[in-house]
Amino acid sequence: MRYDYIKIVKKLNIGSSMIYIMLVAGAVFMIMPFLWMISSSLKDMESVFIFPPQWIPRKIILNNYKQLFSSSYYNFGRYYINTIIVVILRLSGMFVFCSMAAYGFARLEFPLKNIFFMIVLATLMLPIQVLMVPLYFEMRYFRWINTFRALVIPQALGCFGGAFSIFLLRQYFMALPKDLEDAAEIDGCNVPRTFYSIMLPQVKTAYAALAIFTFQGTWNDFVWPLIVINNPKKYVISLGISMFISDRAALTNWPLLMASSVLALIPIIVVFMFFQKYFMRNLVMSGIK
Amino acid sequence: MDSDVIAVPVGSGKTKMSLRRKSEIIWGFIFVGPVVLGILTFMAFPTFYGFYISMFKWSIIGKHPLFIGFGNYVKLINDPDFLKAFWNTTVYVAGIIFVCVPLSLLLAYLFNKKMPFGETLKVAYYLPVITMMVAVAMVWRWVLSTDYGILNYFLGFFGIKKIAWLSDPRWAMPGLIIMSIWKGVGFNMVLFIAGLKNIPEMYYEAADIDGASSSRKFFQITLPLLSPTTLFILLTTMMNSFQIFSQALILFSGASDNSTGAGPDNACNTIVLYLYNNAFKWSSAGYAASQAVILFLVLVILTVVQLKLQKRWVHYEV
Repeated sequence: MRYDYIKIVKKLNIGSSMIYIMLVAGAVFMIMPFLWMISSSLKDMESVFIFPPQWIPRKIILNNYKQLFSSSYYNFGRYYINTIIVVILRLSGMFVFCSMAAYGFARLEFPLKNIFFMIVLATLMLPIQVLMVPLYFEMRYFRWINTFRALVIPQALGCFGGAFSIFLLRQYFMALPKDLEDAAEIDGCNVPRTFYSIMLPQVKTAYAALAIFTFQGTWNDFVWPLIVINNPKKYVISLGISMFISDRAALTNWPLLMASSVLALIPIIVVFMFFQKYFMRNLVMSGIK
Repeated sequence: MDSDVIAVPVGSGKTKMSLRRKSEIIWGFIFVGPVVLGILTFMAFPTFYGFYISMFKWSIIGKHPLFIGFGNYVKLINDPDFLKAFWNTTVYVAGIIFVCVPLSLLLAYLFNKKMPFGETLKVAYYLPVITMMVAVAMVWRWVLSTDYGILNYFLGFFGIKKIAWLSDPRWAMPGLIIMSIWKGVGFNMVLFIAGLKNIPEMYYEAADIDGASSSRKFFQITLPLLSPTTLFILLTTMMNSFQIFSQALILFSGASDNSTGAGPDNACNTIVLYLYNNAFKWSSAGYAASQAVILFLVLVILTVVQLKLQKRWVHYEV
């Protein structure tokens, strides 16, 4: 016992324990704004201005959350439903169109393929910020302003970052052995059948990661909804929050603002806690491109 | 590429093969068609259309755009607000590159050793990355608040007087940068950790045998072998930072009278923010489009630099 104790002390030299303490302090700094947000969201207007701050509210109040769901002005229930609709539609679009395109680029031979693929890749460096103005005019011309069509169709077709999913799925399809298709062909499968029942099941793991990636991107999406949506009935969560900045009275109602932020962050943090590995993997994959 | 060789089962006739080839071409177009059409409609066309719009005096409501050639661009170079926005964006990018990137490398380097609860600690640094920018920016308005914010509260422990992060022109940009570092440091950290894991252990073992110090090992082994990751991170961070928009809009809107999100004395006016305000607040779409073209050119230049440098600078591991 004594011997072990000495060994541990020797191992923990002062330098590395200093580093450890610094890392822990840094981690506390990173988490602090979240704790502060939750704490403030449970306070009333008076106790939020007590200084030095109370980390644990003396009186816990749920009124702010109630207000966000029940008042006709802030309709967070509506925003949640809208966001979930957009997430589901974008995900299904990605599953259908992006994986078809990825398979086409990986496994089929047809004229202009390389040019098409270059176009898709080039969009990776074209951010939506650059296209704001022309896209707004285009959406207005299509009469898509304030519709879910505008929020869903471009992304379902691999625009605004979707090229990354296509690129990644293509890599997965390319890694599969050619024999699979040959066997299917001998059995008389045509192209869509081969794709759907032979090849798709092989890349299931990629879909789990991409689904989370798309969920995260859609849930947090702000710039695109900001351009195409201005009717509160069609607001997604991020727009619901940004609405406060044009509302001077609400802008100093810190408990209410913090409650709205909690509502926006909780789903994504819960998903993160469950699928942490996929998040990290996505990130590293995005670095490999 | 050799993927166009189609394996043909023995015994299949010539006509059958050409039929199959034909059907493959048709299916190929059907498979990639929707995405290619979507990208042409929503990304390629707007790129050119944006350039076209930038040649007009074009308001977002009015119906009759007036052709003025490069007039918007001339106005741009003489517009002190735009020049300031460009400068602010550059300062912001520099702040992120010189503080956030080294910091994330340091964190990755420290996390690369085994330690108790290492994974849990990493999650703390990574958590802000996955969260919604608008929501955390709203939280940071409160964190940075002069009288009641926790940042000033903690700085108070070190004897630092209260700083008016959101209303003092000198401190607005540092506040914005601090918030963005908090939001982004974990992202680069995870990328750096992946890069560090790829360096083979044998180099360090060889250096240990030669009795190299740990700082020598860092500069002579780690940094050169990490250079592909570093270059990638530097350039993507630069490109992303040039597009900074939502943070500034949320942090600074309503804090001053004009409510454009540009911050006190336009201290945090950025290119995209100015573009957005021009287009959607002040209804001069043509002028905004010309700013977008400039931003686009900056991004293209950065991409070209990335491609060129990748060939020259980077030490790829053999």
